[in-house]
Amino acid sequence: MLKLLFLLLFPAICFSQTFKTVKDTAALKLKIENMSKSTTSIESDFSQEKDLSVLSEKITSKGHFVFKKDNLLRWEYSSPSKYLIVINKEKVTIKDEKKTSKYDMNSNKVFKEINDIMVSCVQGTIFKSNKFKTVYYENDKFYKLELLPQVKNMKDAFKKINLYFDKNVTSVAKMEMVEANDDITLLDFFNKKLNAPINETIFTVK
Amino acid sequence: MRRLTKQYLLLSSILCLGFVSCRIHKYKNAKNCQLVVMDEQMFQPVLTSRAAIKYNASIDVLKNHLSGMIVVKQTDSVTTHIVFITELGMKMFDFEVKPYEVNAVYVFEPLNKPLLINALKRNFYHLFLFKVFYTEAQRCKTAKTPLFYLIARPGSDDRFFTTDSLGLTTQELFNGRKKSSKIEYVFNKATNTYSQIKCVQYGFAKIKIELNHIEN
Repeated sequence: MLKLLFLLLFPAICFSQTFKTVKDTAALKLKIENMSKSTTSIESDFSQEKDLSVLSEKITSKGHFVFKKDNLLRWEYSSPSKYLIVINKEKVTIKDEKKTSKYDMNSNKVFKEINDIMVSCVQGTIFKSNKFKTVYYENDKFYKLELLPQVKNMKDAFKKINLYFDKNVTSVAKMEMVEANDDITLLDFFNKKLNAPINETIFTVK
Repeated sequence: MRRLTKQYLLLSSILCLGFVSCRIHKYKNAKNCQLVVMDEQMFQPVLTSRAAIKYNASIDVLKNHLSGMIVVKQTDSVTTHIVFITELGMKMFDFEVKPYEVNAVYVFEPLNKPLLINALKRNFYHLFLFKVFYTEAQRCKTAKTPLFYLIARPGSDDRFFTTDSLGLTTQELFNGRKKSSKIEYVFNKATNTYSQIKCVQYGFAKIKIELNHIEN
């Protein structure tokens, strides 16, 4: 009986040991805001793992991104295929192996939405958005912000987004997007360079 | 001047009609047709194992261009899923193929237009060669075409398959006399897979699909 009880409770015990709620959320918010204010640029490699629940299949992509304040982002996949998204203020350029497409963000609501999410996630300021309710967790290694969508179009796309910060709150360490059907996309950032000089020409695609 | 224009239009129409008719009649007047049962000896299936098969994919519908990855996997003895995700990891659709039906399990809301989804379901069903093997077909030849196979079923497009020494090269679908889709296959002998599949759906809503196999 004791064994059975232990087996039943073990996952819960493990989980509670893994992440617990943050008590002083105001202090954590301040740390994230300070991090965001003091970060002028981020350059990082990333790996993206898509877990398709129906197929029990993981799809891994790799790439590199560069962000420069205020609204310059170059998000580039190198494998399994080449794919580039460049956000240069109000202009979005998408280049795949076949085509280059340019969009004006103001004329395309979907791109505006994607830009807001990408930039605010990279900066870690997404918790300020009224489109999400945020719950704050921590363990020995990370702070975890669980973002729960509050508006319909976000709810349709995501069940939640988890943002992980290292304990020094220097930058976003990883990001996890859980879709309504439990498919998960995990982005892991590594080889990060913070506040290094960035040549703005990389945000122009010819 | 006006008369010249009329003559020009008439001539163009005749030429167009002739051209289209030639295309339509490529498989007509077949001789020595034999009833056969399609099997893997005739050409290799696209989906050969229960493991997931991945393709870099680009889909052009009207003026929209989508790119990403198609993952195809048999999930049980009668069910196969065809899932399209963009590079950013957003799932665009998940089609579930059963022996006699294709269901859209999930479709990204902005794409969710019945005409478009039905066209995509139909084209993916055909290009992955569902309902081809272990069914009856006619094996024929004409003066204009080498050996081809025809699968004709009431209420469905006629499916014409042409092969070369390596295997399947094209699948053309006709709705009556009208060509509805053309699918081209490139077989890679070294990897024993179809390395590229290109599909064009003709008509009002033109759709182009290009798949390039990703080696595991």
